[in-house]
Amino acid sequence: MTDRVQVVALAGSVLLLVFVLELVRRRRLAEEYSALWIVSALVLIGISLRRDALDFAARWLGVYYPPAVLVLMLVAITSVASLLFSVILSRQQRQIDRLIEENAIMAAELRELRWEREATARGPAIRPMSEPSLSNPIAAVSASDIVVGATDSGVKARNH
Amino acid sequence: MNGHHRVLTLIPAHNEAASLPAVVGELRQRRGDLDVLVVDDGSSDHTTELLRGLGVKWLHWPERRGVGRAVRAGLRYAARQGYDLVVRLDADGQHHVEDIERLLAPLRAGRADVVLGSRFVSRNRARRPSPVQRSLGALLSMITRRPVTDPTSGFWALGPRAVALLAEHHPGGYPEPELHLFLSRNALSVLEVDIQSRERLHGRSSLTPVRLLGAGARVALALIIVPFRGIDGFKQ
Repeated sequence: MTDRVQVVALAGSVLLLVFVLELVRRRRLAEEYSALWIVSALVLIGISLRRDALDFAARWLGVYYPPAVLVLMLVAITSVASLLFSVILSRQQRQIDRLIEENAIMAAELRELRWEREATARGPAIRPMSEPSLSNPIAAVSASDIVVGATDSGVKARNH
Repeated sequence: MNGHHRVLTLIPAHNEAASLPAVVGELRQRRGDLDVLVVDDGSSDHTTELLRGLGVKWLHWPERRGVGRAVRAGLRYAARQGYDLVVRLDADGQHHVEDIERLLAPLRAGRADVVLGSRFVSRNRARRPSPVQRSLGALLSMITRRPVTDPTSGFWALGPRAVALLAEHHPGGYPEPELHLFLSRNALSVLEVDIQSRERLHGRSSLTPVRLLGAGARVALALIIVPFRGIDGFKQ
């Protein structure tokens, strides 16, 4: 005994499963994030096939129209999925934060190493307080006078 | 002068080109013994270009991430470079350089892990806390079981234990009130000292009404969540 909603639900669930598996096959969806969708599709297929399970769930929940339980399940699945996405998003933000900070710190350490190297090349007596730049023309001029005799990396550092 | 302690002055800055040179200049002149690290939080004015000529250490990233994350990055740098003590002050020039030693002294003497500068601890000051600051302070005092007179102060100093812990777990966003909860939860000894403050040199506070609302919501959430988190911050 089948009615139309059952056929549509079954077709939809199978399509979902196939689509998810195809996304994984093409590496468009990472395996760890596919689990929720695969499990959901299987549950939906199971319920679409076993009408009595749906009826039982509807009776237990006090829902008069059993296919409404399917809709309820879809809402539950999408809610869980969005919560999961928020968790993943938070984790990725934490990772990006960490990367940005590590990158900024490494850039600073590299800059300081270059200053030290340039200062060593010039000799300790004329070690500048700052890296030469446009906003500090005096330092820029004095540094460009001195850097002529310095190594290639010193010149690169000045131009970055 | 510093004894055996290495001290880093940490200045988070977002679009502070107008006041930053004066703040750094004052630091250089009066506290030449302290290293200075400016954390440029995605400034869109010429703060970034300015940094190259100021003769300070600096961190920079291209987009704004909030003062809390800027401070955390600075603390991570301090921990990595082996600094024992870190003083944080604002780039807008509202804090007095001569107060730095008031914050550092208890840390040097080992009397506290964290020293918070309070603008309102002394009652005969012209400045009074706003109703929001007052009620937030009362709430935080109740939860942390110690007096919090200035819950939004951005002038404080950290000892080695606090630097190590907050380099990992300093709260993001507008972090000052949340910091109080974190310190209390992790049983760090906190001391409040009296500091002076003046009007910011240029510009306005970045706390717009919308941001204030967001910050308020975050603080409200932190009030509920932080006391229930594990010690040593949020474990993944």
